[in-house]
Amino acid sequence: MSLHHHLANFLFIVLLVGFTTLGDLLMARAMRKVGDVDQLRRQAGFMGVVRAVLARPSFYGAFLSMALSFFSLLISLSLIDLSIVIPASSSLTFLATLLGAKFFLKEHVDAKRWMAGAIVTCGIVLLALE
Amino acid sequence: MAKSIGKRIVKLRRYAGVSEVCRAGDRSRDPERAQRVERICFVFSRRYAGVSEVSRAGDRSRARTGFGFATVFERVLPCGISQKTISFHYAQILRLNFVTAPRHIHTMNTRRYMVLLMVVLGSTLGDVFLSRGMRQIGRITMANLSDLSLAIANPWIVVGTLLLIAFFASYLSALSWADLSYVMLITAFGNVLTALLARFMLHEQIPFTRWAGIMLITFGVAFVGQGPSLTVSADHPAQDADKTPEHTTSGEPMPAGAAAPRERNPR
Repeated sequence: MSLHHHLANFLFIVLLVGFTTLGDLLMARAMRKVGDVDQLRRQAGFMGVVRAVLARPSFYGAFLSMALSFFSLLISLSLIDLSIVIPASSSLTFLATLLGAKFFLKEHVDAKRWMAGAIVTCGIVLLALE
Repeated sequence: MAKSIGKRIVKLRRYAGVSEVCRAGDRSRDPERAQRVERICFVFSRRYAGVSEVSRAGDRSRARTGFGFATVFERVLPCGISQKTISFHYAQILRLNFVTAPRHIHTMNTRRYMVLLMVVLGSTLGDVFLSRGMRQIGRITMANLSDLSLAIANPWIVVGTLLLIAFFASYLSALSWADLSYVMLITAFGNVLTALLARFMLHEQIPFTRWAGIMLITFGVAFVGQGPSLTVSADHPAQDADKTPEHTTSGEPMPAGAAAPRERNPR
């Protein structure tokens, strides 16, 4: 496989990671503002939940990012093995999302979660090894 | 110290209801106990759970039967009280600084673990089905990008997409009652399922390193899975306005005297 192909594969994985992370962060922000959807569904019904979610601007940003992430995934899967694409993108997405949750969503990522994150990331990297 | 505690009690009465706060007020005159999480939690739960239910729990606690905070909230949740209302007042109570460091609260129950399982299964099986469908379609490059339209007619891709829709709905639900950093850690178990399905459905080989990775991920998920799932910050009550407190964990001294015996009311 030529350098050109390697670079193309790498580019699609980077795009996949970037769009997935951005989508997750924006979606988490939107759903945090919406509140517990189970409770909301009991109070306002299913359409009430839909309206509440659609009223959040960050939902649309998340939706766009996830759509781009989905197409990046489709193209990546057609180029690279599933067992490589998923672990490689997951491990990088994992770290990026943990950092985003800490600094963008202001979540309290304590030592236990960092440790679990490190362990899981190591596991994902091992899964990705040929 | 006593004066500031008095002010806090006044505020607490405002938020937790007068009659039930009296008992906590008496105890809070003892400065050493003013920050006991269990008292705040007890007052808070009395306000929202209905006296009769919590009194029973309180009675059990006075009888030293190991009453815990979780027990109270199991009784609070079925009462049909708006979780936004609960969360708002909970945030207000946190702002009174009675609770020193509850940074996480536990919002999980069996149904919510099932939702997380759906997140894992939906994303994993969806990816596998999509992979199978895309292999049938063939290699997609920038030159033949329009071939992606064939994906709509492929049954594997249709089923995979439906599974990803189910994953998406479950994922949205999970994000509404748990931290993203918690949900993503738990759902990392999907990588294990992906590897196993790739082995048994797509007939890819799993060498020793991947088995080691599977074990590490499983261990990491189990490590954090039983822990608290939602961040609560007294500094950012508005941020936490949509959260459902079931029982708190302060990280260090767990829900304080949650299981501690309760004193008799001096009044």
